[in-house]
Amino acid sequence: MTFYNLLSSIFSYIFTLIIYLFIFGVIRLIYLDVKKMSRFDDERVNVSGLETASLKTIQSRSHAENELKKRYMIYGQATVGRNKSCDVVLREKYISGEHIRIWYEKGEWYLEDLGSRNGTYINGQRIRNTVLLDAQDEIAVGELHFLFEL
Amino acid sequence: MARFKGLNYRRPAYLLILMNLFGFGLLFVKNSYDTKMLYVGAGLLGLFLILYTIIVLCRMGDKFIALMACMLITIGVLLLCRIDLSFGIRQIVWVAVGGIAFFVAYLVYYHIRFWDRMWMVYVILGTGLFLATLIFGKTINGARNWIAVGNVTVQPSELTKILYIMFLACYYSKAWDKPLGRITPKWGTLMVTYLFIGFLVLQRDWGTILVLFAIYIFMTYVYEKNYGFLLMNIAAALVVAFLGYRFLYHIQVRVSTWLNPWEDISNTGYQITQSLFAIASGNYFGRGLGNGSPGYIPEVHSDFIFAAVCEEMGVFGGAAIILLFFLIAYRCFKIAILAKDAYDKAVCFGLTLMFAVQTFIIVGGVIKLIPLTGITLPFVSYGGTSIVVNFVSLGIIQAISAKEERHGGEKGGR
Amino acid sequence: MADKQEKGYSQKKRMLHILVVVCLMFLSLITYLLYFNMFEAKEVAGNPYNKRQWEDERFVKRGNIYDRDGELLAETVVNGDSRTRRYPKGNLYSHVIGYYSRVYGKSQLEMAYDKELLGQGDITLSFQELRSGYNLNLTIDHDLQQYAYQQLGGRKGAVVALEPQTGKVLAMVSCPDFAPEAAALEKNWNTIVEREDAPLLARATQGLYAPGSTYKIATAAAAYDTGRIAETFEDTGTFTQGGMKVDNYGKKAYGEIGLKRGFELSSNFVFCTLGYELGPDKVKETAEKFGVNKEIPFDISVSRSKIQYKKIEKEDAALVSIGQGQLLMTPLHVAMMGASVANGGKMMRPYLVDTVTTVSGVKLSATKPDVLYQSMTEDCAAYLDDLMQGVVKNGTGSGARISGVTVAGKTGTAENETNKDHAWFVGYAPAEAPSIAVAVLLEYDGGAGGSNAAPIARRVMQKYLNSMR
Repeated sequence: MTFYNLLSSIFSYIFTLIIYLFIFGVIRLIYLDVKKMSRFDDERVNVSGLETASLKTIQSRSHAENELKKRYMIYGQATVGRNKSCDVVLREKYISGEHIRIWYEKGEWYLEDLGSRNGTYINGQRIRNTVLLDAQDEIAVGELHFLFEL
Repeated sequence: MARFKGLNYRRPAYLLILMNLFGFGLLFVKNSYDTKMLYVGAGLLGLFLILYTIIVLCRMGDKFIALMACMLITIGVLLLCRIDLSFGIRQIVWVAVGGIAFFVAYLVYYHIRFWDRMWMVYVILGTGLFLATLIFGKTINGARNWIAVGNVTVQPSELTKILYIMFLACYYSKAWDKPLGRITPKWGTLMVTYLFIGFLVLQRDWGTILVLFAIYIFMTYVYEKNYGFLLMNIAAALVVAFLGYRFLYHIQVRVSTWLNPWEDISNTGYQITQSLFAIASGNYFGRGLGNGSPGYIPEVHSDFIFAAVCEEMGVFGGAAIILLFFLIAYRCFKIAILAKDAYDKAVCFGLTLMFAVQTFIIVGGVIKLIPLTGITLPFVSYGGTSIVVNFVSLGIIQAISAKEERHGGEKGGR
Repeated sequence: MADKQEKGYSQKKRMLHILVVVCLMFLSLITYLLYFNMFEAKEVAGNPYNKRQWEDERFVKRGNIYDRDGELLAETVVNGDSRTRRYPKGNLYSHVIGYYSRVYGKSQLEMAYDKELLGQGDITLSFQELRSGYNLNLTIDHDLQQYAYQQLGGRKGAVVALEPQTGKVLAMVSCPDFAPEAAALEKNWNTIVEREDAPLLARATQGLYAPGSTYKIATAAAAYDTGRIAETFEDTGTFTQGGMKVDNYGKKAYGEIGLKRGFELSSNFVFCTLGYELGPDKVKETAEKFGVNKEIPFDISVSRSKIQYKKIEKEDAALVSIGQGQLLMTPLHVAMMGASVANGGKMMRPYLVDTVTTVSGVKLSATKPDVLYQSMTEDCAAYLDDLMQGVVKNGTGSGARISGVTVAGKTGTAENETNKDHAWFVGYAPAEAPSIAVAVLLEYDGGAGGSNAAPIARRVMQKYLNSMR
């Protein structure tokens, strides 16, 4: 057995490892991509007739930990919070598991704070009960600011 | 968390670079420190970086397919350099040409919008290529499917696969719905299919026949509402296959060597048994790059490269290649399913099937799962035409994916 | 519009069907690849047509094989890139060392010790052109092997000589044999394979024969176990039971006779009666104590001795007790049976390769003697020793007598599917302190074990005892 044979035998394991890590990495990325896509897919479902609105992200002074979307769509109703089960997931500082809920009812949009720790502000005012939303209202949760658009 | 996300995102790309560094470094040592090997490695890596960067920066649709294709090319070129450095160098030149072809195909397909109205062009071009092969062609390894252009030999049947798929898509996207004389498009496609297959029989290119026919059958299954036409086609294929088996000695030999290659190891079973010896000697992790003896396997640089991969990188390495092809096929399926435009959908679906079926046929043949029919393993095998055509297919798929991504919410690109 | 949507939906569904089909295709590839690697790869890689097996040889000079006194039995001659495996003793070891051919592969020790002969398993790196494999030093005594071969004189059969206390194989001859050198083998292969007397069959280890009366050793051991050694039998010359008739050899009737005398005269009546009365379970149990129906671990592959009954009846037990019926044993196994009596009931594991040494003489491994089975108690062995001495002194085994040495033994004449019996003898000497046990088989000899096989055993034993002095 020459030196090269030994070296190469060792590398055969390294290559196998690299290739499978690569495959694993690609699968992971595809998985993340598909997850993103499936949310994207929902956007099309809205043709089905649900009332839509959106939360437009306002670039604020605060640095978001994760990249924020430019716009979050709301179909009929949505919960916003840190939990994965929320319709709009915001993994940021000062945001509770289930922070707020926005829903459409009889021609109007409503917002309710779900008992968040750090509260919710609409146009700079902290809210306690369910409130009626108007287009162009500024909603602040944690350090994030959104514009409510119809 | 946020900081690492960026790094994670590009991790497969890093692993690809690492694979190249280690692989060519190892071959550098093997070839008694021949610096040519480093240039080859650096050249390949450079090509990948340019390709991948452009895809990501120009938002050219799916990022993963090209990445996985790069990994396959890496494995292929490593093996080729190890078998014969001159093969490796030529392959890299082809990869460069293929890369250019990739972007050209991408741009042309993306911007031209009347592909679905040109079915006649595809048929004429395809037939022309076949006729040219029959007249000017030369026979290599029993298949008369090569044309020499200057000192480069090209394999027109590779190109006809794409033409055929684009032709089929014309019909299945309903763009071609007017009968030509008394021939309805449905029967027209059938006739063209058998015309092409007939030419391929004359060339003894069994592998391509299988690929074309499998594409046709699968497309029929997806697009024809009732099963009658499909069943009729399958029945016809079975009859033809049976007749071929009865009367063509070639096919008989292939089947009998598949059933028992050990009977005549030194003659008809030579190729397949040498391939099986190589795979069996590799075990799970392989004997190590450069430790095996791929020289014993005939046609190791093209059709049988999978056996060499199994010997030197092990069964796990071989399974990884199959997995990579599966992931590519999966991504392409996704693009096909999401595509808005009916023509794009059909083309993408056809090209996906081409990759998948071709991989299955040659890998299955090399490991003796199915009878052996010579065809290249996309991206891994040596071969100019094969590499360029596969890159062109990839470019088209990429264009379809980019259309989808950019105009996703709108009414489609066209 | 609704129609279009429905069609689009089913199209997507069918595309997914195709995705599933493609998925299955790739899955079948991976599954088959793994299956091939798990279950078939080993055999395929070992195919002699696989040139990779011979690659190691380019860098290695295959090790030599020596007998116990350093006599060269096999070597590799290097001439540039060519390697020739030479066997200086010709055909003599074709069934022990085997052959080594690029076309037909390897056999016997060449196969079993391939790794050692190629010097594999060491991790030292070498930059040298040619490295030497390891040498094998056998337990075989070449002079004895040669002598036994001459005594067999071209007759079909086998001679196995063991050292009872250790299980060392001193000589192991099978006839007919063949020229093992690759060039000759490849040239004559077809002739060799087609010959009716099967020269490729290593009779000593792979030939299965009815042991005949030599098996009465085991039956006598069972009789001792069950305390039936004092009985007398009324020998009528023919054992009859349920339509089955077994005659004594030469149809002699011995009248009133004890077990010892019955053993000396090899009375089938006595032993059939014993076997019949002991019953199938006891007979089978005894056989298994001696290693029948079990694999014998050995350096080269040994056929398994066996009792081939689906369900063994009392009549079958009677037949088995005289070494007939569906009982088959290898000559090596019969020799081990004799040696176990000589060794106080301990059946030793036989071995051929004593030590493995590097080319510079460093001992890498040495085989240690090992008890395989305690086939009988020490008392029983002493009793059988007495019986077997009687066989030679005043029984059927008189042909094995050596003046001045007490020899113990048992003859056998085994009926088979032809009308020519196998002639057997198994024995050891000197009985007081046995140093060699020998089994001789003459296949389809037609004669009696006492007259044909015993003299061969005598001469082999005498030769060995002389050489020890």
